[in-house]
Amino acid sequence: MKSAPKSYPVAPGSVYVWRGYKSAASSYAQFAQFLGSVFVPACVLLQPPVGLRAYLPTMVPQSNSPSPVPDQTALMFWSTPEAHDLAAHAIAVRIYSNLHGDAYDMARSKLQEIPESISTASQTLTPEQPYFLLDQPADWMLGKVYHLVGSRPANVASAEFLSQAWSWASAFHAKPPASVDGALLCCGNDYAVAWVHGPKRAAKLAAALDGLAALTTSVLRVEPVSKPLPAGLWDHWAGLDLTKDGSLNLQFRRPPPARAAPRKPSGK
Amino acid sequence: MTADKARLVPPDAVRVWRGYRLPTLDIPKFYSNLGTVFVPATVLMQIDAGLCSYTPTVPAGLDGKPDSVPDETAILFWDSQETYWNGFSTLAVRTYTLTHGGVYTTQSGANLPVLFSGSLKIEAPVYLFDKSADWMHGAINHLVAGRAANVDPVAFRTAIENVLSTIQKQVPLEGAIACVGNDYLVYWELGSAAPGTPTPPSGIPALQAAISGWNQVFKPAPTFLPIGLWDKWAGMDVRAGSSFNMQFKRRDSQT
Repeated sequence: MKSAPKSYPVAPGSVYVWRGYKSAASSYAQFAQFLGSVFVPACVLLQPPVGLRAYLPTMVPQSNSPSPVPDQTALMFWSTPEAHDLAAHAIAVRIYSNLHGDAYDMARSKLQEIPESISTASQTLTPEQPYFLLDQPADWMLGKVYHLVGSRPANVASAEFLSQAWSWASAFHAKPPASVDGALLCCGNDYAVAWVHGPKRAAKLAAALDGLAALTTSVLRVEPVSKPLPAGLWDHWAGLDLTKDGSLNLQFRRPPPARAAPRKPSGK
Repeated sequence: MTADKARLVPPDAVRVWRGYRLPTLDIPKFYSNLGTVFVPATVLMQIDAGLCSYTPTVPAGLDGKPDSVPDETAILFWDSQETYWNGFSTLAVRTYTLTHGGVYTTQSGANLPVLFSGSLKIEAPVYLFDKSADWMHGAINHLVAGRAANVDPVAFRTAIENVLSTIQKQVPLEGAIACVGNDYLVYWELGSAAPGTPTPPSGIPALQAAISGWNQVFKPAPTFLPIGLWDKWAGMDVRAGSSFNMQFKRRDSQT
């Protein structure tokens, strides 16, 4: 019988909060095909041996998504806040990093990704600065996640939108829902993205973001589906169909903390 | 990673790469990208997809090299053409392939060769000897040359065709590959002479005599990678004129 995956909680600031805009040279269908056939599986197959702890990519549907809203979001949790930079000592991660420019409009997508505690914000949020709302470690690959993408209502000015989001986040920080052990929020001037995590797979998390949802025009509310990849790097496999599975919590093997970073070769 | 046993592969199972650096990427950054990502990635991501040998060379930055001559050349042998094409159904090869966009211009490319029959087409590689060989273990000489400004492209190509015909008929080699553009020649030969032979057979002097433009001969150095994909490693030292014959255990040699 297969044993349950071991839990590896990480600090709330040990995550990269990605908001990606597709390259103007690609259609949305081409963007989804590229991400599914190369980019998303490459992230999962190249980075866990050197510290990736959870990866939750989500495609944002274009049907009701205004232009300022990202075309794709993702959370990439690392074993420690330093692990992401240390991982670049391994060629596998350098290969993955060299993929970015092909898919994304990097002028728009190169944004602050490392979150700060919401307690550092005062009365308003800094646009494009991600925040974590709870201070405890959590294992986002296991349990349940809920994700919200919304746009700023047309009748609300950006400054007011950011101030309202700060009020909601501060209240969440002060009195979090009992089922939630992790929460992330990032607002641009024209959009909000947020995630909440609960340690129990049966948790109902949608209501935890109702207050934020009320401040936005809804673009996407979704529970990322837990999914392992069916193939390895050298198996014959076409990739993921992200037009069907648009929001994923990818499941993969993780090394214990003592091994979760590039190491000097053993000389074997 | 240790030396591999000999393996003969067909002469047409090779991709002949001619790469041109993006003008937005300065030469030191180009060397850095090659040494920290592309050259080791070519090996580590593709051994298990059937790569049989890989011989990259970096003319970029050499004195006098015309811009129309490739900044990087390489020959990549597979165990068959089918193996090469099948590689794209693996994530590893798709991922590796898509790392090139930020480094090379769209003028860059690789092709499979055909048997040389006396004439050359622009940007269409040829092989001169219809026999299998092991390019990872033999002694390779590599010529990279530019067309002189006072020679027109047709005369340049014709002169090379004549020399290649002679090499094909008269020079005892294990293998030879060539490709011309309007402005350049790239040529590799695999020697058959025993180690230490004072003047091993070579077609390169005749090619040099037939072309009057810039040219450089390289002797790719057998080079092992000391690491795996997830080891801590800063990368290889790549500079103007670097030329490597990468040494690795092929997938059918791995236990």
